[in-house]
Amino acid sequence: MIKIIDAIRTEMAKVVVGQEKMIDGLLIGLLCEGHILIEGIPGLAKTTTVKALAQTLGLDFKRVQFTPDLLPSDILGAEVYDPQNNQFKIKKGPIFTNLLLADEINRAPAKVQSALLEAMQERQVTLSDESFELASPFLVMATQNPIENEGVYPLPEAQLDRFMLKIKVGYNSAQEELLIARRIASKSAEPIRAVVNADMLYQLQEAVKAVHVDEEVERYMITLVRATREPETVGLESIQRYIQFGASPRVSIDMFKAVRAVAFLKGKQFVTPSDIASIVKDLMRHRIVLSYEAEAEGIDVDTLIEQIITAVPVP
Amino acid sequence: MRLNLGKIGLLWLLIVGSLDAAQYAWSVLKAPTELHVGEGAVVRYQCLFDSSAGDYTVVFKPTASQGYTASMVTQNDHVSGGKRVLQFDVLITPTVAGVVTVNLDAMIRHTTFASIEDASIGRDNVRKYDFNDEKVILPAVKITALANTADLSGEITFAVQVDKIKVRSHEPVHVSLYVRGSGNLDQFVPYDLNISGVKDFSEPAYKDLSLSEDGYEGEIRQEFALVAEKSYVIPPFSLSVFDTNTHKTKILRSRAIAIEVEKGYVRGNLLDTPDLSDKKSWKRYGVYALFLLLGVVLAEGIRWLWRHRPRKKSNVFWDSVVTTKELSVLLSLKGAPQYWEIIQMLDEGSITLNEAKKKLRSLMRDNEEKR
Repeated sequence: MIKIIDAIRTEMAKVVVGQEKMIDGLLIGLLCEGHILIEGIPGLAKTTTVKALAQTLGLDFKRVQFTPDLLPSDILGAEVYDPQNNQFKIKKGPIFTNLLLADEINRAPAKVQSALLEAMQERQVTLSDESFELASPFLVMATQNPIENEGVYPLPEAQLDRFMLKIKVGYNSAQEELLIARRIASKSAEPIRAVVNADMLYQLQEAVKAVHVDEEVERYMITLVRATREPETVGLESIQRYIQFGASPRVSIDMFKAVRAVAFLKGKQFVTPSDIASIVKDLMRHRIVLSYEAEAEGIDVDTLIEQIITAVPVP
Repeated sequence: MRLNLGKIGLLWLLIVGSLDAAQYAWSVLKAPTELHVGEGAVVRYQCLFDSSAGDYTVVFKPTASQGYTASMVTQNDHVSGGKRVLQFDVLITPTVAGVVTVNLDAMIRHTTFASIEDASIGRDNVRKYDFNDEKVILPAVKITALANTADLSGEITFAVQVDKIKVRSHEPVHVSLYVRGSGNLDQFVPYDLNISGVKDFSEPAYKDLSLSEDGYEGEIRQEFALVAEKSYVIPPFSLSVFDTNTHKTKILRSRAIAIEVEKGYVRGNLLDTPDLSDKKSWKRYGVYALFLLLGVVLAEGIRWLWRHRPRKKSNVFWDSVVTTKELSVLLSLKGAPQYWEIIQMLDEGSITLNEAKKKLRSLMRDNEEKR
């Protein structure tokens, strides 16, 4: 099974240099059917990576560029009048796909972002009085730019909570950047082949579910999630005032799925605490709501997660 | 070039001078007829020009040949009555008995007119100096060399000095040998001392000589440093000298010198025996001991302070970790690809905590070096 993962990585490496963490995050989302939010400044190959992944999967892929004047119907679809038949008919929007790339999701207003709520959670869309089931697999991979304030709309908490992972993308190393520049300058990128189909993806997802999680490790994960709500239980009274809302139970669910995928990507059949630690920030950073005190004191959510992880005894 | 009267006159003189080449004649003014082997005497050569011969140079370098040595003592160059006169005193010393014929040569160098003209006009596209060389065989001098087997010839004295005659074992005795006077001192052969049981550290003979009409004048000094464990005798030095005044050979001889060698130094000889009955000594030793003790206390104090100095807390994030699992979690939390290998090894249990920390330190060092 891991050979299929390697094949995906190889194909993606044809256009994406480095950014292993982002690729791993996307693969975890793919294996767990979790939606992914990618945050990074422009020019870090966020869109390119998602497109490359879609190409390697051979799945139906649609891209929506989120703009301030976008309407929910531009994504979901709408009931339109058919003058020939003299009746209304449903015109499905781009959300009816396997892989939806919501590019620069925070450029659209909250009402458009919220249009995705039902689709992302229940994997169905209701148009008029009719509900339509979305294709399987259905994944939303959204990108957003953190540095701009003008003309951007922060995602509502309920929407954020539906993203399994929020991956922060950093700069490439100097060597990688040199390779990117050479590759783009010489236009030498090879075409990407589709190496996975829907059946293979299903098999991969089943293999991930078979990864063993020890009971102690399960308890450890629950302790971690609960510690974000009640930090004093792990001796972190000092950070209590910085957290307005801790991680929701959806985090526990996603964590149970994601850590299996992390272990699977490492070629393991069981989950270790290090697998949890490697994904916990991506799982929690967008789901913990910080207080005004934290913002005033410049406390970063990642720092708080690190403190929690360090405070909880490792099984 | 602007011509003035002076320059025209000079040119005319040079032209006339070059057209009318000077004549010269070599002669021997003074020469011995009979000498002993090793006895030196001056032969005076003269080169007489029929004019002032300002454009002539005489190159005369007497060289030794079979049967004699030749060295230039003095040379004189002057113009007398409008004629140039050169005189050369050459010291000739026969080296073999019999009739010795001294045949020397010289070179007469005549500066050409073209060369003078080029130099005076300042032409820079021609050779500035041009000569006509002529080799001249000087008149032969015949000298009858009488047999002489002495080591040296001349007026020579001889002295030997020893700095001490009683020494301890391995203490050196310095022997200095002086040969002074004039004659063929350049022919002196240094002595070689071979005394049984004595190590000889002799230096090469030092010669402070200058050439004169009487041959080489000055001093030759030869020094020996003799080291032995037992007493020994320095044998007499002897030198046969042919006296050029009396024409007789005499033997110069030093006396034999007995050197008494005592036993070498032992530890007891080097240290004064402490006088323990003297209270002052005890007091002094007490002060020494106190200083020593204070030194030890001070050193220990400094050591303690150094050990308990306030140290800068290490900034590495893994320092407080006490289990491999904790370290693995902490490294995973960082999410840096450089830790992946160590995380894997920690999860597999193939590495201990200390080994992992060591690897991390080395990784950190590598990163710093790369930076």
